[in-house]
Amino acid sequence: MTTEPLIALQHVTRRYDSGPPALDDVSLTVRTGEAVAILGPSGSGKSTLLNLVAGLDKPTEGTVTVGGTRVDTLSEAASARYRRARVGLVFQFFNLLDDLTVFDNVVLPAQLAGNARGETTRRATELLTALGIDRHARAYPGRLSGGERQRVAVARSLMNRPALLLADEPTGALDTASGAEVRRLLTGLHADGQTIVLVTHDRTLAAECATRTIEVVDGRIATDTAVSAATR
Amino acid sequence: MSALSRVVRSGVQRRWVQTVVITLATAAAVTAGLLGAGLLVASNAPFDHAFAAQHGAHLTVLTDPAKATTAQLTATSDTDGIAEAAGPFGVGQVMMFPPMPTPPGAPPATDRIPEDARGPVIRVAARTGPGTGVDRITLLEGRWASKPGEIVLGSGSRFRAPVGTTLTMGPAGARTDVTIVGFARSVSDTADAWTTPAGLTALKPPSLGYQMLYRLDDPGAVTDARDAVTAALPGGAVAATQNWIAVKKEANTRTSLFVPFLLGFGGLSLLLSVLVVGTVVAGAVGSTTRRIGILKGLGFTPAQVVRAYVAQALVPATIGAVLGLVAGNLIAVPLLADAQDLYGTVSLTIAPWVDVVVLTGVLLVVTVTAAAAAGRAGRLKAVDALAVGRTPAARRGQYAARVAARLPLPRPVSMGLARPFSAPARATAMVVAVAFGAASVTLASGLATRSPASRSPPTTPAPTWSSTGSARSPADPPKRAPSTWTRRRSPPCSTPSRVPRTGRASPRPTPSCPASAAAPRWCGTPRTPGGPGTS
Repeated sequence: MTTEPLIALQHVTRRYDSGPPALDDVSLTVRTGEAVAILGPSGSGKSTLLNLVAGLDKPTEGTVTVGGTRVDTLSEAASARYRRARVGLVFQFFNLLDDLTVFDNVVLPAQLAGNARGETTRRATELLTALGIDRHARAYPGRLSGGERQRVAVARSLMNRPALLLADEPTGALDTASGAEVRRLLTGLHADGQTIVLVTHDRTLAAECATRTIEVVDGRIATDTAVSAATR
Repeated sequence: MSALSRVVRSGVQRRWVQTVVITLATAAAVTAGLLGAGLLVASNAPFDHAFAAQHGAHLTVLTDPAKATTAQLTATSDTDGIAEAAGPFGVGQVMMFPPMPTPPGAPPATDRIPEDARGPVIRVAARTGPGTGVDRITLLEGRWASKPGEIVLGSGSRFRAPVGTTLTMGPAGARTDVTIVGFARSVSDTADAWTTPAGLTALKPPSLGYQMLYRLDDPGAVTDARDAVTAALPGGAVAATQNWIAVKKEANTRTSLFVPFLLGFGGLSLLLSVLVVGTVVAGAVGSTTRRIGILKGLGFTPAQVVRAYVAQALVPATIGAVLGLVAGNLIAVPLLADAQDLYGTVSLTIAPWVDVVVLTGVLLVVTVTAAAAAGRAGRLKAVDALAVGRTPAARRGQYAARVAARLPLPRPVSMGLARPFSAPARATAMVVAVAFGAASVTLASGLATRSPASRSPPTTPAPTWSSTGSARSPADPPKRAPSTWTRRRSPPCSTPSRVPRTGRASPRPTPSCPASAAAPRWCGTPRTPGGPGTS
């Protein structure tokens, strides 16, 4: 494992209106090649933390740095470009565009980045084949099972070879078999060196995929534990 | 294909209801805009164009043949301020009876019309041809009258019958049949019909005068020219005058009446288009919030998201605009033909620059409207958009929802009642769109039922004349003549009001007839027919 810090959160607080902060003075670093599982009960601030790293949200206080870029100071357009280039996002409910085919969904980030057409097609075909969904390339997402849709979402998130893969409850909407598929997929990606931060309730997922688990309770980091290879 | 193009294409294809609505709204806006603008352009100075083309008369003078000789009249062409003159032409007021159906074996119409019957009175001028100098009459159909018993009717008269139709004309006891041999147009409005000098004599008009037509050095100096001509003739010789400004004013009154309506319809259609497109795009943004979040999550910038939604509106809008362009140009042809019929100088097609301006204008309006509505998509925070459906959001209209819930209505109905309050801008736009739509329909229906052209054809085949004792006074409402009466037109000049006329209750006063507010345009003294008449 390398020691290069990819993500650095320093004294990050995020408040929504009145009430207690969703995140309260959180500091955290994630190194390149790590697979970090963020665990915690509902409303503990896990997804907020993920959104801040993805540049989808901004902290009320503190700094968020990803790959040397201060994400918390980026404009909306710059945040979009940052996500486009450096981050792959996988959501609980897949968030595929239902009016595009599987193939078109997968190639969209590459087209947005302005990649060459041939390279884009090659990469998409490679991903679809690797994830076992190449036969659905021309189908619309609505015709796929949950596990297949999540694999499409993962393929899309990897299209631009992002430095960071962020997954928010990737198995949360899946049945047991589909959840196991996705767990294997993420484990394989991490084995290939992909840095992953995933938010989950699924302790099995965390145990299988993560090299480190962070438990968030009431907006604060309660535990930060390295998971040994033997345990996994 | 770029990511933006792919997203736009899929949005257009899969959201086909939105696509169809925007296409139709834009097509309607372009069609209405083209008709409005095209007709406005067509109504822009058509009189001036026609007047120039016909070398119209700036000043028309009717004289008493008993007080001025033809030589004296001809000599007025040398008067100061007169550039060119034509005449003198004999002019008479002649009563006319529309053709009556003549069953086999029935006596001629002249014998069946009661002696005391009255028909419309028209101005008949004696000219041997349409002329080459002042007031070059345009022969629209048929040929010029070449002998007594033939007449050329003015196209602006309310009387329409095919060339070859026989009419009965003349006073009681001296009626004669005349055949329509042609239709012509005089923008200077110097007469309602033309015949040969001998033909006019044969019609035995109860009043006769000589008409002189003048072109002026300074078209604005009609008063000076009139005074000069009057001074050049013996005292009392000038019975009446008519100047081109008054004629133009009257002609433009007919078209200017429609200008506000055209502007109104054009404006309403454009406003409706804005409201419809705005509502549809705002609805599309509102119903695809999650999609917007996904796009932003994938790396679409706010500007790209706005562009995607604007393009989703512009693609069908462009198709609709082209359809509207074709429809507008096709529909304009018959409408412009009416204007052409009035003046003869109006193009039957919409000017290309109008096409370009309307097309560009409507697409610009659609773009701005769609951009304003899609602006919300750009401003929407990705994290909020992605959270749609997962977390409750504070919405407007919660108070309305609570109130509606207490109403003694089925719950689905009360929920629907509260819904507009959660999106008040969109609901307001919808209300305004419906209100303007209703206003347009009401306006159009009102115009359609009130416009002379839309009135029903005559319900009885009775001719317009009537017997003594039941003869209508000029103030009586006019009855419709048989299908021959097709257009409202200024009334023919008539001798004093004993002669009833159809179609107009009271003629307008003119500056040259100050003695009687309700006097006919020509204030001639009845004279024995006869006199010159060459063109």
